[in-house]
Amino acid sequence: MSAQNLTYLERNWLRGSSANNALSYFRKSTLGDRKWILRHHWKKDINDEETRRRDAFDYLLGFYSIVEIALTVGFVDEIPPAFQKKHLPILSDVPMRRYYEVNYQLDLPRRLRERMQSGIAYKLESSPRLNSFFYEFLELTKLIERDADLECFLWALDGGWRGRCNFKKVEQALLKTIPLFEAIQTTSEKKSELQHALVGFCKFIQFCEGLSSLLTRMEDAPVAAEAMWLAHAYWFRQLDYQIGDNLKLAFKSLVRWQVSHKNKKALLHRVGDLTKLMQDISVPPMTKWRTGLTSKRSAPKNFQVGMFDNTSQVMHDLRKISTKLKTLEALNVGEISHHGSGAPSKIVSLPSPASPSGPLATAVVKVLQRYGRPMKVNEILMALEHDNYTWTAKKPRQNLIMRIGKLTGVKKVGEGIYIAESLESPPVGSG
Amino acid sequence: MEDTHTPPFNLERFGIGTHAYWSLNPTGKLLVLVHGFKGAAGTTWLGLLQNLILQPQAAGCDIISFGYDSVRQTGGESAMELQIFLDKLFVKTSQVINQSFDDYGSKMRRPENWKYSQIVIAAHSLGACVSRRALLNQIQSGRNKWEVEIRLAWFAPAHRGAKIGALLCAVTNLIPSGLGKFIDVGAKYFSPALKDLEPGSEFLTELLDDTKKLCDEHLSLNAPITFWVLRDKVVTNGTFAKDVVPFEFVDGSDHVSICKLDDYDEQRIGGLLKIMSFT
Repeated sequence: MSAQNLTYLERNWLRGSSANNALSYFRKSTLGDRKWILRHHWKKDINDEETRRRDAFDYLLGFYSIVEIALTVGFVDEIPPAFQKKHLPILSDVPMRRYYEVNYQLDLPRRLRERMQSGIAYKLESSPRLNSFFYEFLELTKLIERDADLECFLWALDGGWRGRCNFKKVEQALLKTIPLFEAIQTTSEKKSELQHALVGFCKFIQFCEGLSSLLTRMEDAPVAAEAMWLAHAYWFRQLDYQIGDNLKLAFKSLVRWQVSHKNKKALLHRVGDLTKLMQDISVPPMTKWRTGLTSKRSAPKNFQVGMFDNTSQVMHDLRKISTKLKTLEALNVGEISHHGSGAPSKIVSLPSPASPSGPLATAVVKVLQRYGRPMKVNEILMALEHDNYTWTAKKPRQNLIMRIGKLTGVKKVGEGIYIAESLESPPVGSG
Repeated sequence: MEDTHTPPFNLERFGIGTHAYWSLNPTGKLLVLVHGFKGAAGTTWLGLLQNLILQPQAAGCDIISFGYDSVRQTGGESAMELQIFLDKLFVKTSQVINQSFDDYGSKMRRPENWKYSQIVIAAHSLGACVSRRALLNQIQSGRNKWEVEIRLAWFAPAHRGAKIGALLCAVTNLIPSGLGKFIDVGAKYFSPALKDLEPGSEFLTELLDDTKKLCDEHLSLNAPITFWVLRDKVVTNGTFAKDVVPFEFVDGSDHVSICKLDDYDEQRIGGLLKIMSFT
């Protein structure tokens, strides 16, 4: 079945998709062509034609991510020589590697390259249960990668313009009920860009809820769960940047609807749930499980997760809006406060016991030097996990947050962003 | 434990996003899932479908999730689309199945004379009306009699009508369906399927009248199991013709999540398996 399953994935995720265009472009282009097309957008803005080409490469990398997960969960047993011969040169290509390993980091294609080059890789024992999780993951991936509404919303969420639609327009449209309900009933051909984006917003929530539910059920297969999270980490990792801020604005728009006290309470509750969902999904599942923070909507009151970690601020803002509408006194605020309120945890700083992996400072500096760019704490944490760093602290993330500023050889270059002292600091920004 | 089903294969020529998990050791049984308004073949049954293929009792059963354009089409048009699909599937069974495999594997191919003997149609909300209408159409047409035993299973069926505003809220995934009353006043409905779901619509009236006329002679029209959401704010909970009562009330679900499962659920998965056993 294994070889057939790889053929199945090629048929559904490579052939007939624009990922195939990337393959043919790769064959025709020179190294210089690819170096330019796959440059970091800081060097020069990307024009429409280049965007289409890069999209094709993104789809190809999406295919590689799916193959890597399939190999991890045992849906595909091994890589046939023909596949390796065809795809390893692409994954090893210098401009390509710079694109997915440095400029816009994607862990799964890198893992697939390393798997093909060294044979070292994650591999779980195949089981019908893991396969059923994988099928569910593929359905969710179809939703976020192939749905026109979602694509339009994510474009706006990421700060893009299309036609006359950008995120500000989406946020404004969400202030009223009618644009959303009209968008839902409008057929694809007749939808404006804004209507696509509004429906896409609903589908993004559906996607996040679906993935969160799936990952929660995979606690006994953390490696597979993490791989599935990583496949869509581009969105989740940015929830503390503009994307997160934009989502919060979208949620706030919903709460401004003029509805009865009872409905306002239901809306606030729902927005609280959605905020908590974003908080949950912004953190890789393995990190949550290792830190003891389960995703079963039961975050300890005094624990802040980080990337979407100003949930309490959002809830505060929501309550402020509610007060203006003179409805707050009618609400039981305590009922929703458990969705993320509370002060940051107060952890007494004690000397850390020695890790069998060696000093934390050395491990962190090694990570920062390897990546050669400023990194967020969560990225460093994941890289340490990838390096199999053994933590002695019960809550590695909190431990890292507390200690990183004081580690020898590590320099802070922005809020929550660090670089190796030995490296020159390039401009800080999101990829 | 070995896999009992193939990965999902697209049935591209039928509906939208229609796909099938084919049994590796088929016993002639089929489960067809039909989504509701704004649902999709891929996402409406997330978790439930993937859980079903893990159950030993479902090992010999093919499972198809049927998709259709629930926004642009009337309920009647969607029913026609489903009827055409089922007709093709029952008449040219092995052809439809084998075409979907493409280059996946010759071992999986079904012999030319391979047929289904028992089928369960499980449908959600608008999908229940669409499925019943498809079955009625087939019976009323009198042509090409399907030589299969059919059973129906409903998830929050909309055959007694729906509160349209609440339905619109529910399908957003954003807004609690309780806001429906407010939305009723503000929003215009222009999707033909929504007009069909208004209580007392011509579509629903005909559906009930035709079912009542035919259900004594055609027992397959009487659904042996219906899953309801207690105090569903979207559809009107009520009896329909001779569907078996009492209904199963699903705790902790709402109109949309009744089709989704986080884990094995004795009530819904167990209930479906019981119906699928045809005992």
